[in-house]
Amino acid sequence: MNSIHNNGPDDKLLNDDIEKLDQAYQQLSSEEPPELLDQAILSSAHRAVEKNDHWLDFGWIHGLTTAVVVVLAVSIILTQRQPVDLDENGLSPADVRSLGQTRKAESEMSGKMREQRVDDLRANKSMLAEDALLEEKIMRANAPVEVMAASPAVAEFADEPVASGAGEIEIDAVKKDADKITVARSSLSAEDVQLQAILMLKQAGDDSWKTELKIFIENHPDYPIPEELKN
Amino acid sequence: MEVPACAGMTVPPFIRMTVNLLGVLARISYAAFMRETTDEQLMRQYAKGNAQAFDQLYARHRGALYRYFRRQVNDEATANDLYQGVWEKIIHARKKYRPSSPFTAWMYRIAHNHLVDHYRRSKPVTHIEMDTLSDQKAEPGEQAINEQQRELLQENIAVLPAEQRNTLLLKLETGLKMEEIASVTGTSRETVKSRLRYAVDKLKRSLVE
Repeated sequence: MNSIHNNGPDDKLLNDDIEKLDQAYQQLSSEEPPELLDQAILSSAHRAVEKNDHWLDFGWIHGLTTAVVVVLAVSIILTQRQPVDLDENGLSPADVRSLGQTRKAESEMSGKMREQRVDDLRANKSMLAEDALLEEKIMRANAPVEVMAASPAVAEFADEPVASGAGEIEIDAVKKDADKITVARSSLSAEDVQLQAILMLKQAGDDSWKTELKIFIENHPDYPIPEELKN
Repeated sequence: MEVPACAGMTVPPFIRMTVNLLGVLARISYAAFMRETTDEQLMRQYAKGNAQAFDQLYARHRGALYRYFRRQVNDEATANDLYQGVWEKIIHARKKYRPSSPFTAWMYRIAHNHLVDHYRRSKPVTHIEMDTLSDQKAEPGEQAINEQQRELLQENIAVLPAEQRNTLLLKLETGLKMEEIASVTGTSRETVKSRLRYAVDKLKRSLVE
């Protein structure tokens, strides 16, 4: 039963002894495991394989699932790590997209602002008209006082404020209106005031409004021009 | 592999005989193939689900493994438990087996570890009751002197120190090389050689006396 593996004279001597011992050992009663034990072990082995067969039926699902998960993970990683292609301005596609959106929003905003300014100009125009009307009223309101002051009969009353009467009420109302106009004017920008001045020149028949308008356009090329000045 | 008899259909005797003959030939060739298959191939086949491969493997090793335990522990019930436990471990570890290592060495490594675990759980057996060793019944017709020698050998093997007995039984029952026994027992080749030398000398002395 035993083969001799010599690694020296000592081993050879030992193996010779073992061979002799082996011959005697083989004559010993050869015990065998009980039959019931054999059956128990073999049935256990068969059961294990039968269970294994059912497991193997679904083995490909596990493989497929693993492969899908790996592919997804790798694709996500590659997508995240993909180098960004920059254009000639050094902008990535995402930057260009966001820039386009920003510009669009800005143009919409400027359009709205432009409309707002045109509305403001129109309001200013009406306010200027009211202003002119108000100045005229003030002139008219002040005129009787001057007339009265000029008249020797009422000269003594000239130094005193008018205690009552329609003239005083009218002056107060006019002053309130003037305050309102001053507040409204303070909210106007310098450009609007300039345009209003040009418009007044035009309305006054002064040809210099064209020169003024030209200078204004040169200085403010983007500023919206009212329709009245475009013709 | 009998030819199935279909209702309302008669199979000619010649065809029936030919098919049965082919079945017998297939079974003979399969058995021959299994006999020629190595332990490692059988274990791989079993790991893949071939239960017949395990049957073949079991038939090859059952006696030696059983005697390995039977002569290590003097209690038959304990030997049976150890023997069954090792096969259960082999069954459970079938997918971990790698054919790069010989099956016999792998199996006896499991057996050795199982035995060491048993020794750790229980008291180490250093002295064995000599009376119990004489329970073995000799075959009728054998010569008295041979019977005495066998009994003496068996008794002397049983009283060897556990490491020496283990090493000697691995050598006598499995025919493993010293290097393989060293691998199984987790020792060096020189240690195996030394244990074998001590065991053989003791047995020789006892048999001469």
